[in-house]
Formats: sequence, C-alpha cells, structure tokens
Amino acid sequence: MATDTTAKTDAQHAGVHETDVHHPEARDYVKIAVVLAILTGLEIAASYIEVGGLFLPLLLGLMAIKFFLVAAFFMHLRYDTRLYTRFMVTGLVLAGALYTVVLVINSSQPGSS
Amino acid sequence: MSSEVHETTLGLDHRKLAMWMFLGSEFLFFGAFIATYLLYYERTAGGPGVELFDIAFTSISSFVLLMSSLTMVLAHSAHVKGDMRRMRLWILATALQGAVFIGGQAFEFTTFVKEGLTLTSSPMSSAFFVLTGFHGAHVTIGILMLLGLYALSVTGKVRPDQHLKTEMVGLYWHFVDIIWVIIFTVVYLIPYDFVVHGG
Repeated sequence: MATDTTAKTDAQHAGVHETDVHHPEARDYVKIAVVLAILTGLEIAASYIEVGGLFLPLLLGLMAIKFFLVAAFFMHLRYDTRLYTRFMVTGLVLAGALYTVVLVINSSQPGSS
Repeated sequence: MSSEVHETTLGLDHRKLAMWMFLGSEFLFFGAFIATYLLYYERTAGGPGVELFDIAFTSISSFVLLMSSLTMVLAHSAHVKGDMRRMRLWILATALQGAVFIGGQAFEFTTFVKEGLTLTSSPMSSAFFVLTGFHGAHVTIGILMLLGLYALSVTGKVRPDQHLKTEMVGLYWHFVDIIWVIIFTVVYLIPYDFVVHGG
C-alpha cells in the first residue's frame, strides 16, 4: 500500500540526527585507516622490543584508541544519535562487570591460580 | 528489508535501532568468552599453550581485517553518493579480505591441532577455540551478508537510495572488526608476552 511516507528514502528515515550532519569524505576514512595501521604497527613493535612495565598500559591504550576510531568514525557513532553509543557502552560495561565478578569469584576459590 | 516506513517513536529507524541493540548484546556475548579465556590462559594441563602463537602471522591477519573496515566504510560512502558500481567493488574487496582472514584462521587452527592444542586438550585451549571460533563464525556470517548485499545490488533489489542496507551490513562488519581489535591485544599479545617473556 503506497502512501506519502513510503516514498521516503533511507536517508530520510535513517534517524532524526543523521540527515543534517556531515559524514567524513572517503579521503578522511583513508586517513583514519592509516592511523589505525600505524597504531597496529606500534602494538606489534611493542611485542618485540623491551618496554618493561609500560607494556600492559601501552597495549591497552593503543587498543582503546583503535576501538574508539573504528566506533566513532567507521560506525558513525560520532555523528549518530547518542542512544546508539549508549547501547554499545552498556554492552561494554556489562561485559567488564561480568569479567570482574568472575575474576573475584575465581580468585576466592581454594586452589585457584 | 524494504524502503517502507520503519521509524520508531524516537524518530529513529527501527532496523538500525535493533541492530545497535543486537550489537550491544554481542559485546556481552564476547565479553563472557574473553573473561573465560583470561582466567584460563595459563591452565594448559601440561600441554601446549600461548607459546604456540605466531604473533607475526596473526598480526598480518589482524591488519587485513582492520583494513576491511576501511573498504566497508568506503562501500557505504559510495552508496550514499549513489555510485553503485564503486559500492559493489568495495563490497567485494571487503568480502575478499574477510575470506583471507578466515583462511588465516583455518591455517592457524590446523597448525595448533597438529601441535597438540585441540578443543578439549585443556581449559586454555577450550576457551581459546570457543572464543576465536565464534569470532570466525561471525566473520563468515558477515561475508555471507556482504555477498548477499552484492547480489541484491546487482539484481536491482538494493537501490541507490537504500544506503541504510549497506550501513546495516557495515555496522555488523565493523563490530566484528572491533571485537578482533580487543581479541588481538587481550588474547594474543598480552598473554604471549606474559608467558614467553615473563611479562
């Protein structure tokens, strides 16, 4: 059944916040990919050279930056409604909470390593 | 999916809203497996463990998957501009890179099994294979979605004004990539350094 609204395109009902914003151009995506490639190179380099106590925070930091870049720009969270970001953050927080609970329970078990 | 009205009372497209809810739940799904692996990566029952990891090889696979996110977002960008020929080209490039990643994972799994690291050999191996196996299954589903999108585009069932379809497939693909960003660091690089180099 055709109505006026069925003639809308995806651009029109993709979301109230999505039609009025500028998404990056192709060259911007390439720049982000170059940064991601450099960060991956640093991660791998850190695994082969001695960085001492910096190893863990360095790797977790690089991972967090890569995660942010993909989510913010490639998944368009920077330009979309914040509700989508909340769904992602909720999943991440629950996953982190789950790990913490399991770790605490496991470490309190007799004979656990 | 059609181009009929799909708005929720929030004014958002319900397909995209559903996809984000699904992806949020997927973080919890993978979080459980990653947590299990981190608890068990040293419990090898006397068998092989993370020292079998070939960091150089996995780095190349990871790089290929990371770059597939670029081709995916370029496919979406081309679709938004109505350039369906270029959109299909980038979609195929993304699927190809996904296939390379899966091929690398199959090679890695085969090598591990030959070395005695099997699904049931230890708590560490079970946690590793279940986690990375589920991720591989997600990549495979993503490849099928990409090929489906390509076929629908060729047959005219995905039109230039329906770029949300490419965006939906793209969201799933980027999610698969973002999860591997975590797995590569937390499952491969950090435990390998702790076990082989003593942290």
